[in-house]
Amino acid sequence: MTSLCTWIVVHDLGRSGAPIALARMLRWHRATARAGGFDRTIEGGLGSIHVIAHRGGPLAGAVASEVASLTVLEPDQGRSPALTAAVAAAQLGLPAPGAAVLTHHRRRAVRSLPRPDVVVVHGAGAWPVWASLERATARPWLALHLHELSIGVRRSVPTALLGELASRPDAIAMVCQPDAALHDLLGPRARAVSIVPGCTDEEDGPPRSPSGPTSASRRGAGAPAVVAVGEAGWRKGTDRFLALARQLTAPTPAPELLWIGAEPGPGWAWSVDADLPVRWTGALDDPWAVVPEGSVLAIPSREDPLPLVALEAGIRGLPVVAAATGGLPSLLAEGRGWVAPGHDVRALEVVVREALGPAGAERAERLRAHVAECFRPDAVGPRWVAALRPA
Amino acid sequence: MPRKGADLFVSVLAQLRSSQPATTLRAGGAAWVGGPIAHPFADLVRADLEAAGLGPVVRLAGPQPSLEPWWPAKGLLLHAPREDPAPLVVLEAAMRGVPTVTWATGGAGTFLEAAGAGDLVVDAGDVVAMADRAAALLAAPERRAELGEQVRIAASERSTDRVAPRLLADLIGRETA
Repeated sequence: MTSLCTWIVVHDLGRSGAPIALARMLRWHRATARAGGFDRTIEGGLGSIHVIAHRGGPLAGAVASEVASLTVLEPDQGRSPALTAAVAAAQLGLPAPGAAVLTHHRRRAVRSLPRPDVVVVHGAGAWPVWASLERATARPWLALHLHELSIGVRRSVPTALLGELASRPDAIAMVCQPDAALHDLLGPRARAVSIVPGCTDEEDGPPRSPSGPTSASRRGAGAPAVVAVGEAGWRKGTDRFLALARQLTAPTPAPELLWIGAEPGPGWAWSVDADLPVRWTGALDDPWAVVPEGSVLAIPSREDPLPLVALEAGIRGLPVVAAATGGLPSLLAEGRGWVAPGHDVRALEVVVREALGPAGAERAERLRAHVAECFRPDAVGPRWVAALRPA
Repeated sequence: MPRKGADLFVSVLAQLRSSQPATTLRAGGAAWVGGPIAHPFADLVRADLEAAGLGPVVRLAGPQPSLEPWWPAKGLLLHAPREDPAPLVVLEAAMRGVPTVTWATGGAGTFLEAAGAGDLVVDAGDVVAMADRAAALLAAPERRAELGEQVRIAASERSTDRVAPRLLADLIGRETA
């Protein structure tokens, strides 16, 4: 058995892609360790894992049950007194003392944890958190697992820390190949990036969500719909989905256009008289429970490395239509789905109509077989461990 | 700001280029005037422009002391806000004979419908329809001029000299001289 101690630093444990992907890997890691699987495959795995989250969220319980410890630095709502002091100091033009207070608070929170041999920074949003923690420990092996492309990285990491993000890690993994701007940021290291995607929620039995069991056979009633999933906004292409909905309203009967996730927030919302042809469900624990048989998943995102919903739809036999971003063209290549230029709504409309027809089932079956082979937890897990721990 | 729909403006132009290849979008042929250009949202708009290959076509001009140099004498105004109850810019364009294509929400759509220019109004968020209307208008100078004259006449009814007395009368409850 290994004596490795691994810290995994994550921005939050909300119900979004990076935390869900982490929860699935942690579940796989614990199950594999219990079954003695690491002795036969990857020596020791990541050992004893301690997760440090800037904020908690609905996945906190699921994560805590799979690891040696979970430390949450900030309350789910509001701010700790230390963060309040840091923000106030920054507003008064005194950022350095404010940052010192916050750093002290964070280091004290992790003081009782065993010193790590390996630190995994899970997602770009965790990099600033690690930056304030790192001097709390001797220099460990540092691995960065990016779940973002260039715009996501630049939105999550202050400009002053971008250089370190590219140069400091001993290993860098991503869920898909870096885009051109990220390639520029990483420089020669871009060529050495390991590709470690997310995985499906399927284990040996029926698909499960991180927070509990679901069933592949549980589907919403009604006519087939065109479905999008995620946090409404620019990145997920909510405006493109709305424009697509306008195109699909004729000829009748038009499919229902369903956005699983909250409506666009302030500033992004349409005026109340806009009469939008999209039904918003709000965020759901199990989105697939409301998706009728025969539906199509549309991913009109502007920037999306490799969304878990594409894998989840694939394992459930739903056809997937996506904008050409991140790892989606590769996932859907060789007749496993459809890809269109995201800014061309007419092109998206054409492929959605194809996916709603007989070709949809054919491509969905190819995607299901591909996802089952390459994106199950036991296929991705060993790659995750190998990419993050020292050789 | 996303409320004003700069991202939707870019989406319309990208759609126009994709689905109406006969419409020429020349370098510097489109502009977004106003709004901060050093802002996270402006970065998103720039990312959209780059992704659609529209970087050379669209100028993000930022705040300008006067709109006069920017009115498209031989073009049109694309007004694509998510919410805008009474946009003055549409009236100002109309006063100069510049027609506007807009959504059927907010004050711009109401103004154009009343001006008899309802075919310049499309459903909220219908990027394809807005691109189609814009392309049709750009390809038909005579129709554009005709609509420009229609909206100019309608806007003249909304001048300060005409509106202020009515507004004052509404506020104080009686006619003014």
